[in-house]
Amino acid sequence: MSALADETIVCLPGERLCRTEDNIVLGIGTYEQNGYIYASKSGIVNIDDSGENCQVVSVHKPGFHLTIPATGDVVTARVLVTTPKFVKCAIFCVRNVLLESSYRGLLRKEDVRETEKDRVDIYKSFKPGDVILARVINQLDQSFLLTTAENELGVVIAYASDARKTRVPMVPVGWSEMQCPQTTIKEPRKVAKVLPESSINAVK
Amino acid sequence: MAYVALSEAEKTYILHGVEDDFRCDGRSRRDYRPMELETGLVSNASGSARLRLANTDILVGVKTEIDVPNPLTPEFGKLEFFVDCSANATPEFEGRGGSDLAQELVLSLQNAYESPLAFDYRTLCLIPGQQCWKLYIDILILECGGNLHDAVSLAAKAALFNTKLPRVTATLLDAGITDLIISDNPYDCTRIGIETVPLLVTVCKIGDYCLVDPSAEEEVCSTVSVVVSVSMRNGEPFLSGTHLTGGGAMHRDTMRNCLQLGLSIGEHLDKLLTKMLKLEQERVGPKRPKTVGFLK
Amino acid sequence: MLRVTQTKNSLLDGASIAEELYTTPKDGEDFFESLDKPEKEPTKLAPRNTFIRPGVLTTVRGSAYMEYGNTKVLAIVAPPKELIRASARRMNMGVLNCYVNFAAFATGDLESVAERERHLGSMLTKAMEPVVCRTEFLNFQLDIRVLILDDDGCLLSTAINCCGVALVECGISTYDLITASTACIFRDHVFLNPSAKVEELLWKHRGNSNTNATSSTSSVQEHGLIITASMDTFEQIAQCQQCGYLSPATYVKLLDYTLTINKSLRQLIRGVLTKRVKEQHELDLREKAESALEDQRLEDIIEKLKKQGLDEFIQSNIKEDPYVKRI
Repeated sequence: MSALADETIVCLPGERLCRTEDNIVLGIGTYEQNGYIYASKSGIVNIDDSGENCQVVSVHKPGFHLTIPATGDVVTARVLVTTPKFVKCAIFCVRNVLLESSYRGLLRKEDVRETEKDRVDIYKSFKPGDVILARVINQLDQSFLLTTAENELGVVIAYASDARKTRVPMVPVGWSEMQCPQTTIKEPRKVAKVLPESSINAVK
Repeated sequence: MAYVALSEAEKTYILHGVEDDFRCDGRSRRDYRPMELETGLVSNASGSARLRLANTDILVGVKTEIDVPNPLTPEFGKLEFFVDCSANATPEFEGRGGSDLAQELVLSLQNAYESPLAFDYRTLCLIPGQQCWKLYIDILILECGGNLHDAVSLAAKAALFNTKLPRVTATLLDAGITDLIISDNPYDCTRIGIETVPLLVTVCKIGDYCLVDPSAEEEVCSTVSVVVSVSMRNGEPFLSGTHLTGGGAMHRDTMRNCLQLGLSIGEHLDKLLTKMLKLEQERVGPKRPKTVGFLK
Repeated sequence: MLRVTQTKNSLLDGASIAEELYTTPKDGEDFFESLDKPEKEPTKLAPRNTFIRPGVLTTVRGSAYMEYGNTKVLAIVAPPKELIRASARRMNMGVLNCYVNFAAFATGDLESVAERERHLGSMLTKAMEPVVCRTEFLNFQLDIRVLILDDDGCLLSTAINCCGVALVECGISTYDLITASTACIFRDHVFLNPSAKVEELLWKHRGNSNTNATSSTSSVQEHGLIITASMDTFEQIAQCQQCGYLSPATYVKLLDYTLTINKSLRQLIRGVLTKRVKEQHELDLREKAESALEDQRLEDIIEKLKKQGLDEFIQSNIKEDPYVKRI
């Protein structure tokens, strides 16, 4: 990788990159046609080794690149509506990429947490206005189906319902409660355990 | 287009059939499905035609009006197309569903009839610069069974053939004002020349082969098709408008082949249509005809 | 736009008003006479002076501006949205929508603007459909908006070129680069990249183009316009729209002219896009270096905090979620 860094190969859509072979995998920004791999985006050609003699050919577009939430992505969303059965939210961030326009997300009651799914009370987990972390599990007709059934997923930023003027976010005081530092009011939430970035890297 | 759900296996079956030049309904790649054509069945229109091409059912009515010609083209009459995708053709046309398709058909027809060589706008002229005929060609799609472009253009041509314009005499009044007198006698009328009126031929590319008159199922399988507008002039075919449709692309040589196929088919089709229209006219005769209509 | 004839008007007390342009067919005739006509067989197949710039707008990610001679076009690609219409969702492909708008001052002829916008929009959609990898955004619709700032002919082909660049700039997967050009034939003269005046002549004066021709000679006076969009990697024609009245031989001739022009346009667009990629790549590298510096700084702070034991304090404050499955 580092050796390739100074001799960057620029490619444009429709440019032939290489032959299709058994040990070459198509990465992002490429497509296959008649036994050859072609670029479908403009950018820098990357050839990464992915173990077992396999090479991934991908095209990395510098600058802006378009992101659409895909199954498995962790997204940041704002809760819009809560009902007894589901939560409607607006996805505005995918992984660490801020989106141009928000997409609709749907979080069903069954997907709020991993165990005791039947005893979930949506109103005790989310309030409109909360910012949540969630994972995309499917793409429905009109919206993305989300889940927060993980320790690290759930509400990250929330405000107490009566403290509109101060706008001080609440602080988590447990897996299911958040407290306002000014008024000391406690409110129930499905709290995400936000890990510091350093520890996420360590896990990987 | 009307939507037909096809599985991969069905698509492959159609594809193989096309490759072997033996399509699902037994046709070769250059064959049309059986057509039924009848003219003059709408009593309130100046001209009308109904065309049934297998499952595609089209009814065309031509209405006339007197209008002022465009100052740029004082000797020309006017034509206006309108396509209505009726909701009983396919449920998707309900509401605004058919408007995209209708617009596409209107644009193709307008494009094909644009040239004065394709349609002689001078026959619609009454008094140059002052009065002309304006024809409204209303196309109603009753059932949608594929190959709408071809069916619509055939029906439109037949309806134009059937159109009777009442004879108009003009008297010159004072100060250059003219007064038009329209004949009351329903048999005292003029016809419109349709020799050069274009026909649209859709050449559909399925797999590596081109074919004409695709059925609704075949349309789903095709990646791209060329709509060729063929106008016959002095016994030679001319192109009066072509475009690609269907969301695919094709090679230049394929394009040429498609054009050639389209032209030869169009020529043949034009000949047949003219022959059939003559027969139909004789059958119907000057007397009030016994129309068959939608009954068989 | 063509030739403004000023007439004295007594009612307006000597002030003059512009008469309606192209009032008589004669004007067109005069104009054709005054036009310097190209040779019957064009020798130089080249595009007009072209200026393309991707990424002109900072608010929208995928934008491109293109000048083709005097024709000026701006294209914007909006990020994909969820499909609204239910019927379109049954296709296993994304939906592409193109909208064309004329700026109020773009064209002299205001009457037909709405109709032209619709027509151009639908033709543009047809031309762009083959190039976009529509399978990559299922259940989404992609909106492309084109604003025409100045109209001097070749509108559709310029719009196609501009949209192609905007798509690449936006990072939407495309199978190839798309280029388009226009050629027309009028009274045996082949005009490549016809200007607005010639196009207008072709449309509005279709009438008198052959008044004498048909009556005197039996040969047919061909006239027509052809717009070809091509993708050259696989030598595919994405769209080929023709109007007018052409013999098949002339059609193929014009088609080949436009394809040759497309090839040279492609070189130009390639150059522009390659430069753009390099530019952005350098920016990226610089940004990366800066953020690395920042990371370093933060790490130092964290290191300091760790020594003080604050991190432990924060970590210990969060209790484990009892509803999570334990492995």
